[in-house]
Amino acid sequence: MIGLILKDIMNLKKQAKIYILLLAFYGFLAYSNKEMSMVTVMICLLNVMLSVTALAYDEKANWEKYALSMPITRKDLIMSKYCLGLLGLGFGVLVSIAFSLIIPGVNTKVNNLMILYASLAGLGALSILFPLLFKFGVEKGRLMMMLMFFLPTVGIVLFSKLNLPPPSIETIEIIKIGIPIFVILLFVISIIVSNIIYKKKEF
Amino acid sequence: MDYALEIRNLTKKYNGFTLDHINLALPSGCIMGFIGENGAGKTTTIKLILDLIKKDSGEIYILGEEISKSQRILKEKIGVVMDECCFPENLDIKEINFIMKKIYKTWDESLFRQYYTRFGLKEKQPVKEYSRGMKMKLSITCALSHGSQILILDEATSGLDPIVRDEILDVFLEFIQDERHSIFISSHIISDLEKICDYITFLHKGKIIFNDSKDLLLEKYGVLKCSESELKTVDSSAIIGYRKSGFGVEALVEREKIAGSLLVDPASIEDIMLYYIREGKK
Repeated sequence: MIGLILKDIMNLKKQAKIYILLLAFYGFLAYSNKEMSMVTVMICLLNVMLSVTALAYDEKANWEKYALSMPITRKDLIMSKYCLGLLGLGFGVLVSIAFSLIIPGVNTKVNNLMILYASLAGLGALSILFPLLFKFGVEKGRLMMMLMFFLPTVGIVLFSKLNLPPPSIETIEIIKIGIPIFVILLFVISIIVSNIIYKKKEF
Repeated sequence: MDYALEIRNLTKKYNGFTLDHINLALPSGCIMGFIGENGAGKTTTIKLILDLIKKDSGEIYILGEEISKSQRILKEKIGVVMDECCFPENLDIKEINFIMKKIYKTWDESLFRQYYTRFGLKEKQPVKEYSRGMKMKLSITCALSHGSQILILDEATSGLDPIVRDEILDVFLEFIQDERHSIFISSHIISDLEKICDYITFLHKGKIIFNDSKDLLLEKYGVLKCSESELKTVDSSAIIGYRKSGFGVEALVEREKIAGSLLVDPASIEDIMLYYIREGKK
């Protein structure tokens, strides 16, 4: 499995150059605006995109069928992709924290919460995306990814139009604890579903 | 006898195509050529052997073990070359070596270096800049660098020029010098297989037509050139297939059933395959 993760990292090295350039650009933006939230969200989004790119490269080369002829199981292939996603998000968290320490005037307490929830959003997105990508392939999966980002936005806009009273502090507290638990559960379910999909997949 | 690969009653049904009760056995230390037209089911069979697709019924044993039951250990001993190079395009040889070292416990770095140097592959060139020949050489290099006891090759020589093909066939013949080693190779280029194979298995429309030693096949069949009236005098059970031309008739026949002074030329494996599936099947 380490071999599989290494393969993805090495194969993404070209993307890494663009990734670092983008990071530098967002760092500069954050520095001039003294505001981190957008940068944190962008870093998370970039990491989700990187995982999808890694899968796209595999698909283009037909890597999976070749890999399965090696001492690699279907489970290894799945888990390596989830690990890559986690590694990316972990790296993103570190970069975001580093930025918040370097950039003056950032409220670290608020920002740390922001980083936490952005990462959870990233993890949630990966949890929904991976089974879809494994089932339908990257081409169709990309379309679904667009939908996935589009539908919640529509939902939020519609929700705000309903003129509901703002939630009580207690409700917010419950949501604050509920979201991480929900995302972790989603992640575990996602791994199980991906494994079931992959077990039946024919190459 | 020890078999490197044994398939019993392997069946897989698709819409409009059935791989129908395939039986074959490749003795250890031998090379088996797997021939058949496009869409005959060669790649499907190879995918089933490697457990990339699920069989409907039948049994497959590689080196005496069922692949679906003993995946990891067994796959260390199988070298596979697909009909394309499946490494993601940005990787180069050094990185591939690094990755494969982590994947195969039996990865032999010095052997890998030896093969890629011999094939003239450059260390720092990414796979996407490789020609088709170089890609196949890379795949073969990888298949040979981890203590493989059996090579399973799907169209490993097609699309390559004769010089590269010859070079690759030499490598296969070297590999087979160790009597524990075996090769199962599918190809369209039957002349290549004729050069190196001990056994030929012919698949046609999902069914095995024959599975015999090459020498036996060459001995058994011949091409009879005669007139139409002469053909009528021949025992019809001796004729596999025939072709009419302006000069008379050419027929693939079983040599020992042809009596008299009729002229029977040696048949190549290609002749045998073509007459079996083409025009004038008796």
